[in-house]
Amino acid sequence: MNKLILTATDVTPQITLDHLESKFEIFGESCMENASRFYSTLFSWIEEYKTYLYFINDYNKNKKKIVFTFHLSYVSSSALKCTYDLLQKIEELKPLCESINIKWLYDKDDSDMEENGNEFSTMVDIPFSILEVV
Amino acid sequence: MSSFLLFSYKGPVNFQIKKGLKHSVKKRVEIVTKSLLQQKRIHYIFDEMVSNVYEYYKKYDFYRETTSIKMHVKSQNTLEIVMSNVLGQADKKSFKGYIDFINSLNEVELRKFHRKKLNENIGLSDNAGVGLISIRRKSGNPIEYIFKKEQTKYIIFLKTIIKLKDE
Repeated sequence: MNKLILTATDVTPQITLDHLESKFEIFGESCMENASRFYSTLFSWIEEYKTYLYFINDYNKNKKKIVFTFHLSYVSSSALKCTYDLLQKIEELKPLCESINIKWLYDKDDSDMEENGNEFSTMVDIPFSILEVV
Repeated sequence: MSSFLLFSYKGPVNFQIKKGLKHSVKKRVEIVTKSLLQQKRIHYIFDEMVSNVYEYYKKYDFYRETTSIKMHVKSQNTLEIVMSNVLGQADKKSFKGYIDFINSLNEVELRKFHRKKLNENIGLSDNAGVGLISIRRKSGNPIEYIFKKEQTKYIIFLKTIIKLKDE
């Protein structure tokens, strides 16, 4: 499998899904025209990563500790739905990892994005750290 | 603050036009509020309202239809966004019913309904339902509307009122 690195645009976030470095980050604005199409690339990558984890666990005999970091400054309603779908996909990795955590970062005073983090933390069964970035 | 027209537009809508409009609106909104959170909420509401229109036009091939958008600052320290959307006759009833329904929900019920919608499998162009809930939640006010009949179609004018107050 390949890393998935997508450069940010004014409507899409920076995506870093790097299985070799165990670096999983989504940063920026998410308000693209077709959110489902954009996020489907990420869903497919997670599916591949699931299979990768299965084999690497068998080989290494120890499971990985994984942290997904989200730092979104703007999310349209359709992208918010896709973000939730992505979190559900990440949740599917749980049995294959020693631990999974979501680090949900939000800009100073952005109570809306903080609320989104709090909301999502109750909707998926993954521990969240919700932190303000000053 | 005295009443004045902050922004107006009449013409076609698509994603590229929306991006341009958002940019223009951003500059205007900075005039009326210094609060970054409030600016962001206004952009968000504007963005969702325009998206609802063009997604609908795209779904029904209404490419020749236009929309009109007006943003008024009112003396009561509120910002009103009024936007028109041409509707097929068959959709009038369901639009009205849906807006009436979400207007009837309180904050807690809206949050619950939003969660329910996030859990549903919805198609690419069926996001208007979630967008309207978000508009209602972010503005904190009911979405007002009126219909105008025009030959075989209706035009719905949606009005969102946002209280301007630096936080």
